[in-house]
Amino acid sequence: MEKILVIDDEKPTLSMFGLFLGAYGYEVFTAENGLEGIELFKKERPPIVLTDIKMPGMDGLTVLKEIKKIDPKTEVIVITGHGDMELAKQALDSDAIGFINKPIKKEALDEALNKAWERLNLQKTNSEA
Amino acid sequence: MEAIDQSVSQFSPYEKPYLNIIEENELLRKEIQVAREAADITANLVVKQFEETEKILHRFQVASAQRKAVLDSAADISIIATNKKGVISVFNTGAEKLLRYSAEELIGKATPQIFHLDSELEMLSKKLYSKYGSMVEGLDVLFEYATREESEQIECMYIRKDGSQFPVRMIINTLREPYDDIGGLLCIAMDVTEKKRSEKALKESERKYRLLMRNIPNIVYRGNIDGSIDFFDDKIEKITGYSKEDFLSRKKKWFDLVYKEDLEMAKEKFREALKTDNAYIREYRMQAKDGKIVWIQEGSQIIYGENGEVEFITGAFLDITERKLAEQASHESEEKYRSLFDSGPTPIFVIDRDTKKILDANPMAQETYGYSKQDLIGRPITDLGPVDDVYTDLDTYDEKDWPKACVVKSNIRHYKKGNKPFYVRVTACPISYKNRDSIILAITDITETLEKDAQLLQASKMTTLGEMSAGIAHELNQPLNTIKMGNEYIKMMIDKGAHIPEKELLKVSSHVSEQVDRAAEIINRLRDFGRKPDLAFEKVDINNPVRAVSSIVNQQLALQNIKVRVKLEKNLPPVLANNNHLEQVIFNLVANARDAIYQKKGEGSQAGEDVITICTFTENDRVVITVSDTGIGMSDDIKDKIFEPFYTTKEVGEGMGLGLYITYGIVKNYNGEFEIQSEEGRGSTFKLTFPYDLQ
Repeated sequence: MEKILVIDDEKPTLSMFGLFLGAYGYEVFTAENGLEGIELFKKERPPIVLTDIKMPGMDGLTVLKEIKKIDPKTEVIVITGHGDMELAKQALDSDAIGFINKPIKKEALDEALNKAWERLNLQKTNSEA
Repeated sequence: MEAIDQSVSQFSPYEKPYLNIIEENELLRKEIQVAREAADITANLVVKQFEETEKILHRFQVASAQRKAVLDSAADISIIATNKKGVISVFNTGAEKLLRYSAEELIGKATPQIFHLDSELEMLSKKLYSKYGSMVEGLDVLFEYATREESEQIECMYIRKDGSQFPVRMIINTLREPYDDIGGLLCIAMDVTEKKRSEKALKESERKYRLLMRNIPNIVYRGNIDGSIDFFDDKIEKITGYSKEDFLSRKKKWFDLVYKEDLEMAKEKFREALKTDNAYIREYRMQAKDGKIVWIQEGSQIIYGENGEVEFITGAFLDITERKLAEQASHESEEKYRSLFDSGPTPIFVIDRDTKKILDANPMAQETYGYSKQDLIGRPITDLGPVDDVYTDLDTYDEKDWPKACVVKSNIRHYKKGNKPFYVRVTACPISYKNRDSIILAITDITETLEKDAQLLQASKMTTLGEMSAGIAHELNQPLNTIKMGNEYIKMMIDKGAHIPEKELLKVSSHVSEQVDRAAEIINRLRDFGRKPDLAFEKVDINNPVRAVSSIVNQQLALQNIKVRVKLEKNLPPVLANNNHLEQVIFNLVANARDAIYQKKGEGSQAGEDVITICTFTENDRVVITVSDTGIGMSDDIKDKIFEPFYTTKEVGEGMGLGLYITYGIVKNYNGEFEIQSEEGRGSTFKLTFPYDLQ
């Protein structure tokens, strides 16, 4: 069972991610803020991390950079709101695999997850070869 | 005795002076009566007998005894006779009594000079010299005087044996011998001490009386039914320009003084008095010599004679021109205010202080409220709308400060006829109206002003909402996201044909429901904030707008890593304000605090946490709210300007500079006070205080 980490300051959002990703067959870990998320990441080392970009305390961009520092192979998907295109661009520049807009559509989530897995699988193939 | 009878029936040259003396003073009449009879006799005898007797003195010893008896009977009159050389030959009992010498001591031994003051003799001598050119001294002065001024009275001092002096009136005559030789002096003197004393007393009393007449402002008069009038001092001249002689001589009469228009009224008063108690007080105008009008108050009494006819009228005039002018001025000023009242552009009511009912209402009041004067008078003004507590507020003034009291109440809703509401400001001041303690209520229609203010406020709120829109969108996205995800999950499971555990369905449905409520609440808050508020005052627990604002801004500020700390004192007394306006005030202050923190961050300062603290509490009978930040702070220079309109420290395009100006306006409108503490680089605290409303 693949591990996945979701970081968002909204508890109901985390709860919904739990249901959704659980249905996809992931072992879901959730954190309510950036610092907690990093700690959990260090412990569980999930291949994919979803993080809200606007959060009190440590924001999503910082979380992204920290995770990439710990393990550059981890794929990070950022969650953005309306009109956060500037932040989304900055996230892509910092090597996020993609971004999804709130309110989250299933298609967008699927696409982002697929993209992540594509790259993860490619990395796996390359390292095996 | 035959000789005596004769002398009584005709006036002798000696008697005339006595008559004068007697006539001069009534007071002395009785005392003198006895003496007069004696003196009549004496004078006659003295003259006749001395002329006769002296010649045959040594021959007629019998006559001597008779003479002595006569002389002695004039007990209070000093009669002294001398021989040719001036040596005293007669010194009667009266002389003994007055001068306290005995006849034996003097007769044949002294001259009358010893009874006189040297200074008086000298003066008499000078007088005689200037009149007749003959220079005499000592005893000769008396001889000279007797010769030159025969039968003339002289007033001088007599010196008693003990040296004491007393005033006498005396006649000095010569005693003639046959062949017209001067045989001696005859000095007849009367003690006038008492007379002098009573004269002095009379003079004193008269002086006092005149002084009184002169010093009292009243002009005492005595008038006759024909209009002739006598005044007792010159005050009448000061007032009318006519002297008292003008009246004494009957050149002027009372009728000439009275101003023509007032004459009939004055006469009528007199006629009324004749019918009643004969006393009257009347006020009328006099026309002075120079044409000036003088107001007179006259209090008089009509006096009847024994025959039942009016004998005279007596009383006093008082110049009351000043009082009348003051009355007139006050009347004129009343007229002036009456015209202001009548033509005043704002409604004015006069309210009875006790009954609180309308005593008068100006035409504008009638027009504005749509009621006729008859409809308004007698009604309490509260029928038209509340006046808040102007009456109780006025009553808090001390009675001595009452005339200066003034109370203003604003934003009160009044109703025109037909229940049409409008907003007014009420200014209440005390006034004396027709001698009643009354209150002037001046009403200003401020509906338009309030509407303009409200529009400005509304515009500023909309600006605020615009600034907030990004944050609000973010906030609304959260519940939407949960709802969307829950929905997508269920759809996915159905599409897959997978079974959804009941537990998970319950989780989704409860989450969705919660998030819909949350979204609805955000929308409600925004709608409340954007709502155009009612203009009326309401009782506000200041904690409510604080909570509302913090719930709007908390989330957004948290995303900026700005902490909002709210410390609210429970059970605050309410303030009289408007909840929505206070939200606007608090929002503006918080937005300002946020900007101050941004500006500090923009300068790259990283020191410490960024915190906005909102506190409420009570202090000195006022409700206090403080909004503090850890932002950039202000210099004193900026602090002085921040309430000015269009003043901003922000970049062009970031703010209009109206936020604090509007905030200040709102706070002042609710009798609030503003206080700012600020330190550059450390942050600022805005402190607002509002009075309690305990009713």
